[in-house]
Amino acid sequence: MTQQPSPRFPLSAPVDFVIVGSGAAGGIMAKELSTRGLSVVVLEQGPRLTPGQFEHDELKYWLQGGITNNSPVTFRASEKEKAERGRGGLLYAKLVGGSSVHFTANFWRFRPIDFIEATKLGSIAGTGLVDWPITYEELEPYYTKVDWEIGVSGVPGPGDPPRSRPYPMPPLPNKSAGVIFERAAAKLGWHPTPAPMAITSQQFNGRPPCQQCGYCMGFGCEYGAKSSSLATVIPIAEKTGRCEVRPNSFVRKVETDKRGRVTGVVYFDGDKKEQRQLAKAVVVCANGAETSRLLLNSKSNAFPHGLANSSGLVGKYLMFNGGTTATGIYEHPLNEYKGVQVTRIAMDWYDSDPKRGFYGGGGIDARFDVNLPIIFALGTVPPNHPTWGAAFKRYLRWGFSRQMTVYGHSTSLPVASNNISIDPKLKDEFGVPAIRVTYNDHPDDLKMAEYLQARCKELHDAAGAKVYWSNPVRPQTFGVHLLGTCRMGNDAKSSVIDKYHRAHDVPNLFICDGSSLVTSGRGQPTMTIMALAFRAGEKIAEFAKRGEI
Amino acid sequence: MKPVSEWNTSRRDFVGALAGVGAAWIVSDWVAVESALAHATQAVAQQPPPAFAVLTADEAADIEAMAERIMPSDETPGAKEAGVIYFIDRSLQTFSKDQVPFARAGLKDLNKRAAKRKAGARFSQLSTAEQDALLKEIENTPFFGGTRYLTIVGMFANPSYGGNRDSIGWKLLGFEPHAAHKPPFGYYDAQAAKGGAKA
Repeated sequence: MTQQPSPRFPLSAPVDFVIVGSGAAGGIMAKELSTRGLSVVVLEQGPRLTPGQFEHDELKYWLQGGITNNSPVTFRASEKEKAERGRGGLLYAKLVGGSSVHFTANFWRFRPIDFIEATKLGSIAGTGLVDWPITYEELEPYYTKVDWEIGVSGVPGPGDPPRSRPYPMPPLPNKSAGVIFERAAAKLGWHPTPAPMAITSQQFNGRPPCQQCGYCMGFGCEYGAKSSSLATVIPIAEKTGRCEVRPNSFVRKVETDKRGRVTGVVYFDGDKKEQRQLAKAVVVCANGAETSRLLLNSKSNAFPHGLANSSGLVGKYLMFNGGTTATGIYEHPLNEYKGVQVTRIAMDWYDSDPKRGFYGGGGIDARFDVNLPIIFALGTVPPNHPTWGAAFKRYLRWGFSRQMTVYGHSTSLPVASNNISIDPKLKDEFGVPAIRVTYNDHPDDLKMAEYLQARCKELHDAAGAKVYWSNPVRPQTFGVHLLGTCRMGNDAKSSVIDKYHRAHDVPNLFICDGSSLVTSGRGQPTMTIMALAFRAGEKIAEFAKRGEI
Repeated sequence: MKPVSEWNTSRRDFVGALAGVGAAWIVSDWVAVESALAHATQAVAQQPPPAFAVLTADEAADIEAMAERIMPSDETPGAKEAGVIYFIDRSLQTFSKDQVPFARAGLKDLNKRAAKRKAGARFSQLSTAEQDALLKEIENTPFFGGTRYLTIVGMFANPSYGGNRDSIGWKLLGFEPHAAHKPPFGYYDAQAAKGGAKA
């Protein structure tokens, strides 16, 4: 993570590639292109932090958004409503390494069914559920690349998709929540298995094993044990001498020429001064929300509806994944705040089952969800329990060490009316039109979340929790997984990019991040985003070498 | 407060684990982590407590009394011992600056209610039973919500922010602020590791 002496490319001489964003996809893209001899400038809107700046400071990172986005966003549940600030939002990290720095590091592969669900189940009225233009088999080598180049700890579980190589590292040590989960799940006839995590369980590629500090979710890892882009691929890209990572650089527009080809990008530097970086090609890896915003804001005479948007689908089919929890308190201390967030999962509900009466699938994990002191005390009192005074304080004292959460993760159907668009009025600190989110979970998504919530409660019941509770499943207003908004496909009318991530409308523009996903998976999309980036990076480099860009 | 190096019993293990790794970047940056923590410790250790930057003595007494009812001192220390009021004052000077007028308006209303209960009294001069009754009246107001929020944050945030003195909040929860931990972490994984009873 130490910054390598990296080249400083001039603004006015076109580099081979500008990559917008340095997160899960952008970091890998930088590595794949630069190690194949291509010159790369990565423009990252956030700062570059060193491991020493990743403090154990809950106030700063959880309450004050120390490394997360602060751009204003408006939200509405339907296109008929006026979007407002404060009704909902989006969460992603804003620094070199992007959200791969602050994520929880759950690393589920998608399964073969995720790529062909429309064929298997048939289409669902009112949704854009279609097959991917690629199969699991085509992506598998790149999942394996992620395992070995990024670093994943785990062991194959029941129902796991085929893999060409074993995990490079064994699972992380089990925790009390994992033990409780495993025992109760076995009673219920489920199939619990160690959680695959993008965290080192032993020394790996020059990085130390996880120190079990517990500050994964929402924090950067000062040890470099979390397999972020920042700790893994970005240093390799910089070592080539062909990759410059330029932090504090917010791209506002991708520019095009008369022929409809991309010529470079306009961005604001750290002094909020406008700069223009020329490039032979641009890869947008800015996340499912920011990528859409950038393309929609890159209007021109040739592209009046936004860049690469002849299909009208840029920003459409936004998917958050479903999520639901049940919190339980146990007799003895678990101390879930120690160690990684998740150690055991069960995937017994992965496939959509017509017998349930609705579309959807998911998995469940045992985790420390809100077990750091402040967040715990602010938010996790059982329903109808006093929230201040002596009884409250006694509860905190009793519950903190004894609490665990069972978390259900599930599908989101692609629905065109769930989307990222440009707010007609609101602008960010640079004067750039802001994101407007329109989102309302499909009824089947809510039913699936409710179904998993019942399983989460069942688990606590079987495990003998002293008390357990859930909040009712409600339509989501807050997105962390930002998926589907520039979907890939073979047909330029019904997708934004082709199967190699090239924009159908613009030959030298590529898009790769959560926006590329055609379906949502069952949660935990980062593994798939990274696999797509490895695959896309390899193909794009080939195109560049063959003069096909 | 104990110096950070005493909390961090695992640090030696951590550096040991690095020895064979050759991850030079971590070792060099670890110095920065340590020095930041040391600085924070020193800031908290300053005695006597600093004067209030924003709140008047009366206002501080009222808010401290509220914090004390939210997180009372009983068989374990509460908001008072944790110095939550210093955290709140500092937050009103810095990241909660825009809340000052709002807090003052809330206090004004609170003291109006206090004076109704006991002529001429401020909230801080009421008995704890009277204070509880009064807070019950306003417990759904944004003012109470905001004070509860700052009290909790001041109780459990890093001591470097001015509250959570002597890690009183963390000790209440049983939270050990070590830079690293080792399994077993809790009762159930310890039991499983020993090959204990399987359910």
